[in-house]
Amino acid sequence: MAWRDWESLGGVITSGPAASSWANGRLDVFARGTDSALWHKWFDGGWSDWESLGGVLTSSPGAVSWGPGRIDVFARGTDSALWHKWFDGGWSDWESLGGVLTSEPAVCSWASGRLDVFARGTDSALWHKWFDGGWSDWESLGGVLTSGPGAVSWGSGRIDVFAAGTDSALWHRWFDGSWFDWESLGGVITSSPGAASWGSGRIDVFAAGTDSALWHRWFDGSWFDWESLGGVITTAPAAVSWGPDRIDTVAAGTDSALWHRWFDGAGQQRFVRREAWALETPTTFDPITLAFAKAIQVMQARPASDPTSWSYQAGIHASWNAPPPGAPFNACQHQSWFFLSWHRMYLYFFERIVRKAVIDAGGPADFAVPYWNYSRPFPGNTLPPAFRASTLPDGTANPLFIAAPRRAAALMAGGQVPASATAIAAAMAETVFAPPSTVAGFGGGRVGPAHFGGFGNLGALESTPHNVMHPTLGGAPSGQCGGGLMTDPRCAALDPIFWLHHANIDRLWNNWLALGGGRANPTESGWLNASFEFRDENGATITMTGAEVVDSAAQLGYVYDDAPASAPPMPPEFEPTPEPLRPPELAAASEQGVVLTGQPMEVPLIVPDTSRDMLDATAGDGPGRVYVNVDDIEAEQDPGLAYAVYLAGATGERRHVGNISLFGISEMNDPDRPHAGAPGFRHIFNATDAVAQLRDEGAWDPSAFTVTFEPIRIEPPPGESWPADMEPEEVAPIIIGRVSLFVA
Amino acid sequence: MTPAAPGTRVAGFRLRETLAWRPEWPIALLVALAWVLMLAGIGATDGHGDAVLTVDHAHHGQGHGQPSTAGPTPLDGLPGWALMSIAMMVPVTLPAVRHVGVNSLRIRRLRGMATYTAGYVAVWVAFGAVVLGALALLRSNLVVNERLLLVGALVVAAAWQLTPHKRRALFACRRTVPLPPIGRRADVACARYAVQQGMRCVISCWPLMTVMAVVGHANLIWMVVLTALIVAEELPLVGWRLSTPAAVGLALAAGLVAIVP
Repeated sequence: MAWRDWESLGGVITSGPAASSWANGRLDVFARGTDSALWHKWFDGGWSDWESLGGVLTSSPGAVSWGPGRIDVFARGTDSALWHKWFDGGWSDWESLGGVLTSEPAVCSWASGRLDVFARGTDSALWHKWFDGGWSDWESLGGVLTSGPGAVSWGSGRIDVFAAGTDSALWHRWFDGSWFDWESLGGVITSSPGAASWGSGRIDVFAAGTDSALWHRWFDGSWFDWESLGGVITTAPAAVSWGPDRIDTVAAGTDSALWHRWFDGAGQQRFVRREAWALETPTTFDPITLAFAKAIQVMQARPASDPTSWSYQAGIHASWNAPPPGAPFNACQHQSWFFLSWHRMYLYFFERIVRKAVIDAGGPADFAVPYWNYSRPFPGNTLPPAFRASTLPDGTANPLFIAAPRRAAALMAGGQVPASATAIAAAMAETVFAPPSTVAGFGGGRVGPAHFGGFGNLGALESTPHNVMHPTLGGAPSGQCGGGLMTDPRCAALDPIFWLHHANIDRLWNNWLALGGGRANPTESGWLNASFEFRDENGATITMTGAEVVDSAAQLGYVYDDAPASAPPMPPEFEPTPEPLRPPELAAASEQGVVLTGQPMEVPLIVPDTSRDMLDATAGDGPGRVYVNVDDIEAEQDPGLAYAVYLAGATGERRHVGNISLFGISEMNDPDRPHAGAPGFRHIFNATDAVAQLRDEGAWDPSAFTVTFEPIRIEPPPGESWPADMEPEEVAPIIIGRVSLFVA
Repeated sequence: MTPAAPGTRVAGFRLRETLAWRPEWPIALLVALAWVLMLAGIGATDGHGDAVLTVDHAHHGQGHGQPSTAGPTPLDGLPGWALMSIAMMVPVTLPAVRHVGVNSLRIRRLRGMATYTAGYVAVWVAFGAVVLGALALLRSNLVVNERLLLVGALVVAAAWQLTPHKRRALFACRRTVPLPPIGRRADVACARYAVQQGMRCVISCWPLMTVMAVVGHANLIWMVVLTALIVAEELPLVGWRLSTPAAVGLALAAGLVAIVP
């Protein structure tokens, strides 16, 4: 980040400073002087001298500006009440707003004419008073504060308040229509926090650490970890932003002078990846979609040896073709904790290549690859029309259009992707990226870089929707990219929808982090420092590590159009569960395997007498977990069809526990390549909630249950049915060696 | 993997919890025992398939190639070979033993792991019978230059490292078979899994074990070096990269044996 070094602004201050800004390039700083009066210094192209504004302060001031030419300053008086002074062309007198404060006030404003003031009361709780044409009474917002508050607003109707808790950690409470509960943001802070925001969805919080240095934590779709900004500060910091990519912080140094450090990220362009369906109105071909199609035409016309060509870029994922000399082909990372980071890097460089082609052709300079959020109801769950039109508006062939059988016929006919394929709840409910145990968590198992790290290392998001969407969009594969492009990793990136699919997966990674509740990226060096090779828009070789892609906005300069504004409160069941003391234990299993050929299949499980007590105890009211395992799966090829897996009780009531997709199986079957666990891999599904629901409905009998498999097929649009020639055919078989139930 | 246990828990409890994640520990203990016995010299043989500490052979130390009517049969070396197979070849299959343990009902866990291990060792004993028999036949009918025999075994081992058969066998090391929960089917599946893994392992390591047959089980240095190589090669996803360096090492060893007096 572009942080400038500390500079001294002189003076002798006897309180923490306050800072406000009414416009780009304008800063106003306030602090108490040695005479206990309020002093003021401002920046407007250059720094002014200090001026006294009088009064007798018993706390640090708080300041905010609701618009050009307006400043409101607050402080505690000798009577412990809140006092207020404002500038509106000239300085007003001090006015008392009452109350009994035990800390300095903090203030923010979300619009002209609106002020929100916060302070700690005699009960150590947070108290709030606001101005909206007239002053409200004080209201308590609870909590037990061990510091003064910090407050900021990024837009109308939004307030974020911060303070130290009894554990010295930073705590956060926010208003977004109503007040959300306190959440801990961790750390050990030794001063009141200061907060700033340069725009919607962005918060920067500052506080002194135990080392007296300035520490910084920020929210940009999700919370990023504490970073030290150094220095030795002797008061609480104040922070303000005058516009995007600019933050100014001030605090007293050991010499009692005011010190200033600022961030200037100007020049960093922020690209916005937009939802494909949002680019379908009013015309099928929005300038972004059209630019994408035209750029693909350009890339497809380049020779295969050109690193910026369509086939070369697709080959980096995987390819049937022999790689051009030195090309990093067949590098895609699946079934591992590198799945998300590798595909983020891959998509990032692809996007740069496409953007250059777009700009070279005179297209929009802010081009970013769109994403397709297929987890929405009709028509969002159908393929965007620009990918179903055979020609572009200029009459040329549309490269976004891929005819059946290279893309699923039902999809091209406007069919809906079923909800079981696009369900993200199971992945989002995971709280650990890569747990050190048997289950692979949100992001995948801890394996070294591998093309396919083994299905046991399949992360929840990679499993569904990623792996399920591939064959569902592709359909049955044939030959070397003759059919079902998306189904075969060696052909998938040749279908333009691949890039929208992966942009969506990348977006869901950001959204998962934003859910909070302990969700975080791995911090192990093995994940952060693993390096992967790509080609940039000039065809040059470039390498990137996981540590360089953890913050897509700050590090890679792109955001999604729906970047989550804040962490919504998590229901209690999403609290991280501790690592179980004992490994999951086999409780029931099928006696024989089954062969799936596109028809629904029901598999009864044998529950030995010795397991019933264990099932009663664990899958009863206890804290245990239940897993459905689908073991020893083998297939010659991916049938281009995924299966939904259901756990059914004795009465036939059933619950969806997950999906099976064999994405990558034909590459993994290759006996001449190292692919752990194939053939004979397994899928593991957490069925704890499913069992609990069945039990609550009285449909759970621990001695009699079945697991059913149902093919995931594209459904006709609402109110329609498929013509006879679209009836499902038998597909290539999948052999399932065993279905089992484990409890932990 | 080990849970963070509160301080009130005793060490024994933590050990039990740790072992719960490692159900294959009894078999690992068996491997350790085999190594102790090998180190103690029990079951060792000289380079000619003759048991050293178990039978006092009349012709021991005499020149070979003398047909012996009352001498030992090559199969006398089999118990020692079996012990060596447990010490050298079971470590690489411990992940498979764990797979059997984790995927068996608690009451059948030990039985399943024992069935698997017995089947797996049986494959190696069968291989041992063939190799020891062939060597004995060779030595009893021809005047064999032992040094040349070892050089030949090392050259074959080096060459095998580079074949696609070796590579495929390594890549297949995590392949499993379905394990039904109860009844005879469960036992049969464990045995089938053992034979499948044993055969795969024989394809991968037969020349290395042939080297051991030539130098004799008494040679602990060869045992340690080759066991380390075999275990490292079987590490999933990365071990196969050792094949070529190992081939070079084996070829160098062959050269050394040939020239060093």
